[in-house]
Amino acid sequence: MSSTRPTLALLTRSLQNLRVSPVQALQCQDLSTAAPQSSQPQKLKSVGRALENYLRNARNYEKMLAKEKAEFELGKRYLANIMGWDATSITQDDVDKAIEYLFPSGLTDLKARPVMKPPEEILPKFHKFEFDREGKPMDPLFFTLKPKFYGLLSEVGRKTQHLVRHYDAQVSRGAVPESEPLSLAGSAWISDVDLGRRLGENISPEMYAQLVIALDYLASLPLAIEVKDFIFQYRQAVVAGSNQAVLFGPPIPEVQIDPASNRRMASVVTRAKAVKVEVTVRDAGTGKYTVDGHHYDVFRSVMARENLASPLIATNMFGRVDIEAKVLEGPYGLSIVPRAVRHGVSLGIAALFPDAVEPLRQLKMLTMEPRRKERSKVNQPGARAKWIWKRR
Amino acid sequence: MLRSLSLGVARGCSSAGSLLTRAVSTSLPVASGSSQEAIPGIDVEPSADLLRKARVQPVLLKPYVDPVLHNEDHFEMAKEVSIADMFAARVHYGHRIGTLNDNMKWALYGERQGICVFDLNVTQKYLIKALNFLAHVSYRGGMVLFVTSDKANMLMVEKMATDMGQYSHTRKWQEGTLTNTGQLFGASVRLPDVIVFLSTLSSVLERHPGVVEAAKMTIPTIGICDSNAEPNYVTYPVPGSDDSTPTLKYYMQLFKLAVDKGREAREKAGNA
Repeated sequence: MSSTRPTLALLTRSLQNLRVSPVQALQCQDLSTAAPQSSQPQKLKSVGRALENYLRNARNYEKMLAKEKAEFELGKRYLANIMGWDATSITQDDVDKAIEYLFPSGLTDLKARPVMKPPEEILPKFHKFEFDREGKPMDPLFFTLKPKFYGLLSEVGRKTQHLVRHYDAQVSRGAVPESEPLSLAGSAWISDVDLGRRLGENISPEMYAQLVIALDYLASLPLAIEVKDFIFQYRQAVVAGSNQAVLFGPPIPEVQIDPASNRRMASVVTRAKAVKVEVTVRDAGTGKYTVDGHHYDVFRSVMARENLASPLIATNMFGRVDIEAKVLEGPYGLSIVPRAVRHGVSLGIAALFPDAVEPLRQLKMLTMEPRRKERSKVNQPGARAKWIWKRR
Repeated sequence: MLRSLSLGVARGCSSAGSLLTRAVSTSLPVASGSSQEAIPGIDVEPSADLLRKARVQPVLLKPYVDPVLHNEDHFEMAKEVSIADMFAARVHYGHRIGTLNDNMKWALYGERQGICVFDLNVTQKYLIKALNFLAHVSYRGGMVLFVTSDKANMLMVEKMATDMGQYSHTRKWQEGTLTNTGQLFGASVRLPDVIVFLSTLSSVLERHPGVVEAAKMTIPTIGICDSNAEPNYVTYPVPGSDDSTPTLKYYMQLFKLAVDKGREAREKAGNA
């Protein structure tokens, strides 16, 4: 078997010529056994042409990136010179502001505006595979196109199978296993964006849904406590106090602590028609209610006062909260400020008291009135009204 | 012309194989009036004259071929595949007679109470061929990809493939995985040298798209063909059941054996 290379090469070459990869012909020359190497000094260790191309592209990318990085650093020094800064301490924020100043742009598409950022952020990324020296991928699930994600899904599946079998085995023996159920309170499944970043793969919504279903089932099993560590790798702690609905729902603000008086408070900016108001609702109050510094009885109309007080009536919060409203912008008429303030107060109360969300929602106080004044058109007295139409 | 000798090209290579096994004691060909060596050996390439003659009589090239390829059952897979084991693993159970594919009738023993029954003698013959081919690919250091759409057994197949040091694909097949690597992987990649289909049907009981893509890329395939499957594009069809877990475990154990035998032979040849 010492010198079988010529005939093996003949046979393997005929076999290999049958198979081509779409871009180039893949001619792996080194498929012979390692035996001849001792007798032949020049061993054919060439990799396939596909892999050669890949390695060449990787090397070119590295070279190009190094060049662009050097140019970027030089550019930052020039910028410091122009702006009169210290060249050593420049942050990306400074660079962004300087570019916005030096190259003012009215382009509506923000991505089209001039930008000066590190080359890794702007230039197209080169996806580095992991191969061994023969061009074989490292990951056994490489050909599924998303090896890390499907590896994770398979891992969840294997753990599920193991737990189910373990439970069934114990039940069949007659010993019903007692273990505390897994508590997932205060945490949520890792978001699809964060998961994609962690795995280094682009995850579609359908794939993410599949994973969440699998993880939910695993966490619901009676013996889930055994795989607690694994499950909590994919849970993110939810910030306390944020009762904002994730997908949709009214924009209920987050509860903050007022530093001056150490009370819980919620602040929100809302609109109605052309008026923008900022409403701050504080807990543990005495029932103060001011609009632009004035008590709300400056509003003489009954309808205005009803509007202002309706969230408090609906949730029975009279005397419990302090409300402070401020008109930020807009010409306004008689009845519009109470409408905007009502919406703001409802959101604030919903933030401070989650139980109040349901009654306010049913009274439709949490939804902003989206209607705006329609523009007047030419040849018409107003938006829709027409001049008197005469037949002849 | 050498293609007819290579084991991995066409299903109908039995004619070449029988020629190989039949004509062992052919007289050594002597190139008339040629300056090359008269006595052939595995170090020497055959003369043009001999190659021309070999178009009609491929067996003339046998002395020039690696001894590993002389015997069809070089890796002695006939010992490992027994009809009793296949019966115990329920390989002979097909689907109902109403779902029988006409192109699988050759593999059936018959039908009993509406269920197709495979002829295990036929299955044995084809399984041995397939296992030998797999062992030869492993002997040359090739990549094997195990494919199945069966969700009940996908984790088992993945695990066994990983244990073998090979690859698996038990998810939804993305069209173009083999034919459009430039776009899907971002670069051209080394494709598998053989693809093993534990079931040639997808989860909607249509031909698995991987079978056609492998044929387009001329990648040899080994496929377990059930009675409702189409065996046309599969290089090494193995008629048998593709459904129950014990059956798939039986197949995977045999595939693992073949791959391990090939790898051991490769290491032994490397150390020798």
